[in-house]
Amino acid sequence: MSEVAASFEVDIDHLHSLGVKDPYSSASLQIYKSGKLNSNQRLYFSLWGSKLLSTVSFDAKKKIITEGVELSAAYFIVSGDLIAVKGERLERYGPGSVIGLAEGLAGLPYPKTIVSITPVQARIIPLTKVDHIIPKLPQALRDILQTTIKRTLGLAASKKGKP
Amino acid sequence: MSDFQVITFKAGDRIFNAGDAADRLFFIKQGVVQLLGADNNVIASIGEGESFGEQAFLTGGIRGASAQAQGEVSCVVITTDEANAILAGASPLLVPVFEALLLQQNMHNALRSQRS
Repeated sequence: MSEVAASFEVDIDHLHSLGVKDPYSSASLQIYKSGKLNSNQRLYFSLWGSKLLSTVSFDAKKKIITEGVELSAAYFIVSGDLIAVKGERLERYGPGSVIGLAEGLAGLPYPKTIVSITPVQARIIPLTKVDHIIPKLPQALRDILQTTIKRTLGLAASKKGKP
Repeated sequence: MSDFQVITFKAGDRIFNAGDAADRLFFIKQGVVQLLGADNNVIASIGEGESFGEQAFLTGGIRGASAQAQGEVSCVVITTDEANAILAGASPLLVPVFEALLLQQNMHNALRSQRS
């Protein structure tokens, strides 16, 4: 098997060292508002505490996504580590990783197989529900969403009709 | 879109600098904007119909890059407060969706930088 070629995680150790133990307490919110967190840590904190997303847990060594499938849900990783496999290439995704959102919104099959290497806790982003909201958005928001999806995926254009 | 402020920049104008507070996002009506890295190298050029500065949407953080008008540029400007109100008004679920999308964009940028 190949070595891990690239990895991503948000530095949540820094969050913990600042005293952020949960996303809801007033002490945590004060730190969030203090300006001590970088952009990724702020996004992590907000998604960690989102009451609009449900939570799912995966055991270690479980296949979570199979390459080539169209996803009905995307995942925000709260804790744990995963490996993304594409051919011989391996990437490690840690806390703060987002899996399948841009691909799902663009209507594209997910290009990698994802396997948990430790127990994983994740928030579920319901793509089917989001798909129903997008057509009702103001054009400006749809354009911004499309630009962000294209930039994320490195695409020249998203799949026709989406978003 | 018509309710938002429209600002016109001349060629070479700095729209924002790395390190500035990220309190507005921009939607290009006309012209081309260059995103510049730490050494003023051009990271990307974006044109009509595209947006930039999306981090301002939700994070209220600090700009990680600079933006400069390549020629005359006309942009619709949306403040963080306006953007949040639009998102929450359309559907509360859109706030975490945009947050997650921005985080995925940062993740993919980080992974790409390790490939090169």
